[in-house]
Amino acid sequence: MKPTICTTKQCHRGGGSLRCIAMAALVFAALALASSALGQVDQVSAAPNVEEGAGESDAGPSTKSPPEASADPRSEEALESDAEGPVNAADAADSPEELAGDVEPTEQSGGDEDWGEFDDWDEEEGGGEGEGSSGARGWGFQLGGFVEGLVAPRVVRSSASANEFAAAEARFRLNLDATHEIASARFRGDVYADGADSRVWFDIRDASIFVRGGTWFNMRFGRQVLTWGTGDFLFLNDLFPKDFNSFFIGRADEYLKAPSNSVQTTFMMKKVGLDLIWTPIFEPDRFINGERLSFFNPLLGQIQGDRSEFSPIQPLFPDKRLRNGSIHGRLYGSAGPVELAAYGYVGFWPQPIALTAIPDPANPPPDLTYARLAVYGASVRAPLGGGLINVEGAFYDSFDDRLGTDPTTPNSQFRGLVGYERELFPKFQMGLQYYLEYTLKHDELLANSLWREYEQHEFRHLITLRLTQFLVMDNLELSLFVFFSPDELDTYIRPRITYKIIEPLAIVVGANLMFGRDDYTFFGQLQENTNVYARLRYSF
Amino acid sequence: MKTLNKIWLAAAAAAILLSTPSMSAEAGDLKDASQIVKRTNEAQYYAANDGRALIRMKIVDSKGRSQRRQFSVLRRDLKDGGDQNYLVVFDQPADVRNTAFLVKKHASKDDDRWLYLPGLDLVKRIAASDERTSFVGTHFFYEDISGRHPDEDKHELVETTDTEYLVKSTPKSSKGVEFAHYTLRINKKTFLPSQIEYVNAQGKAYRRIETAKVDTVQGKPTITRLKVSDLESGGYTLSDVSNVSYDLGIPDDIFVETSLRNPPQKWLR
Repeated sequence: MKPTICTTKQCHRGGGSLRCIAMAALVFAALALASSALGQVDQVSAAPNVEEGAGESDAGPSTKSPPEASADPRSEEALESDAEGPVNAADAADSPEELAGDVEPTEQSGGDEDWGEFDDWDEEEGGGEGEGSSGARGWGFQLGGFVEGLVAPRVVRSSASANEFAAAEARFRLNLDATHEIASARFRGDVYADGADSRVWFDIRDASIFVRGGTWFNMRFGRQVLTWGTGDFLFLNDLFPKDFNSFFIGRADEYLKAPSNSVQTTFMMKKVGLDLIWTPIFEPDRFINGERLSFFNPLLGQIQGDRSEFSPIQPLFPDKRLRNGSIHGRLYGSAGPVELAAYGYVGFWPQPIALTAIPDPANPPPDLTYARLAVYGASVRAPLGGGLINVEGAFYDSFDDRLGTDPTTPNSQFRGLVGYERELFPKFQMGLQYYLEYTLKHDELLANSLWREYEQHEFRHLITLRLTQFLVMDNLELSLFVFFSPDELDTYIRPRITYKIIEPLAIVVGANLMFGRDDYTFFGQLQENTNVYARLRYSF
Repeated sequence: MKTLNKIWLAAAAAAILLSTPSMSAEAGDLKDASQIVKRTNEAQYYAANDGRALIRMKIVDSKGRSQRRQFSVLRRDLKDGGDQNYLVVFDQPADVRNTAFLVKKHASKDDDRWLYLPGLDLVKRIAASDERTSFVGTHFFYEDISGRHPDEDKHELVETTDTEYLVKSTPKSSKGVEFAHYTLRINKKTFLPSQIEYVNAQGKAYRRIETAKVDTVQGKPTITRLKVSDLESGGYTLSDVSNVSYDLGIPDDIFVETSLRNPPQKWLR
């Protein structure tokens, strides 16, 4: 089901060696980190004048002098020293002597040297980008990406999965952009050596062309990642493909969204926008199929992991016909600070939760497949009490089983969300959400169910909490996200620490902790996948 | 990415960095400090109808380690002294490239702000936040950049020199501020501040913002280099402004969600 494929036989050589590569990448990055940290220390001690210079000049006003005195004109002396420095009154304006007062204050010798950096900044960073020579009419090009290592060992004993790693991978990302006034092209591609499933994957996340047809119309054509809606890690009207494997193994948040090959058109009429997106070949979620992460399979009545002969699940995919494409629409606008949106979707359930037939011992077991689905919804988002409130609702019309009596097809649902977030203290934010799934025709569902005891409650409630704290000049982020269902009695806790050690290098340490009373609930089924992870990224 | 959760603040950078003073300098010295600060505020934050700039910042922490920020800003005033729109598109550091902010600054209530995260294709609305905390991990505060409302402080004229006014400003309410007062040195001709120094309750200056360079763009003196120093830790941030243009005729309809996803290159370069 993954759009990625293993391209060579060599890459099957074995989980052990690939795991080694991933580990080696991490070790290498750690060494690089340590050496650059040491280098930093050297640099500081080798250039004490910069620090001292700054210290001296700062010490004056900051110690004894009252501010009035420190602000006392430094007159000729200061002006003279300015004239010697690179920052010169002559740079300024047509009347330098009048502006000299403005230009006075670069008294710190360390500071003066610093400014020179801006003059050759572009050259230094030139590896990253280049501008078309013809200025506004030309093309601009950018190149970037990152190298990243990730290890995520499971920390609970799993009977279903033999693999002790939820992830062990080394990833290379390449970003290419070519931009022009009326058009642009974009590429985002990943290649990663995956120790957990012993393969090398190529995953193109974006390969698209954007065309601007004036201020009222534009279009993006090609492979792209798409997102809308107001929820935080909860998607009601966003039926674009997700990658739940990535979400639960410590990959960066962006990997929760999977790409699709689509055409996006946007129409803007004054304060109202209309997005229409067509995905000609239905693109489902990258769902949990037992191979990397285990899940509860109600057909088997047990947790299914990589030990199972049925893993990975291979559902029956809709025929690649024109009528099997999916269409997403959104109409949005605002009234003052209040944002309003209406959504529509016609396509399939994004996960294979339907069966091709009722299981019958006389026949081969049925396949899992995708049932047809239409979704209609709306959202509101507005400031409230110093924070933001959002309300979103969606009706999932499972129109092949509106009566709810067909056990092979999911029932229709209403999904609702209320969220509120605000900053509680400086650099400390909190977000709360309440989410509801109401399954229609629940009595009919139970009456006809093939696995009555495992069916979701008529009302499934979910509460989420997000806490985020930024420290050390925003270089350290402490984050916690908790999902808790009071009716299913399961929880998913995502603690995470992100530290930007030095500019291009960041380390992320976190955990994916799943608990549940039962092993068939949404998060409860994932409890054997509980893992901790470390991720080291070098961006360029 | 999270570091930049509040980068939207950058939008406001345009206000200070695209500032153009009123050129109609009075023949005589002004005597009323409130009047002077009002003029400074207008000169800094409400000049020209729109503007564009490329802003580069170098952040140096107390241990001498440095980081960079680079972003482009488009600004459009809806009303002088009133609402403004900003679009900010980040280019550096590499991990936030193409991250963008849309800010609808309101004079009389909290700003409306959106953040675009390109990896997720997510347009996230951002709740109001403390204005006196680090702006995108720099030593600038949001308020340094978007402007502090003159009515929030009591202003007194301490001294008038040949070239400058020296004004002492004391907050009317100590709620939400970490300073006891601050002093402004304001150029008499341009009304651009040349230095702002913040003093804590112990009477100690702990923070300073200095104008390091003024250029004339389209006939308007414009602050193009600023330095903010944390006098206690020794850390500082340098800010350099280039590619400045005023009165481009930027239309209001580019300050919309779709411009976050696909920044309007026509106006950005």
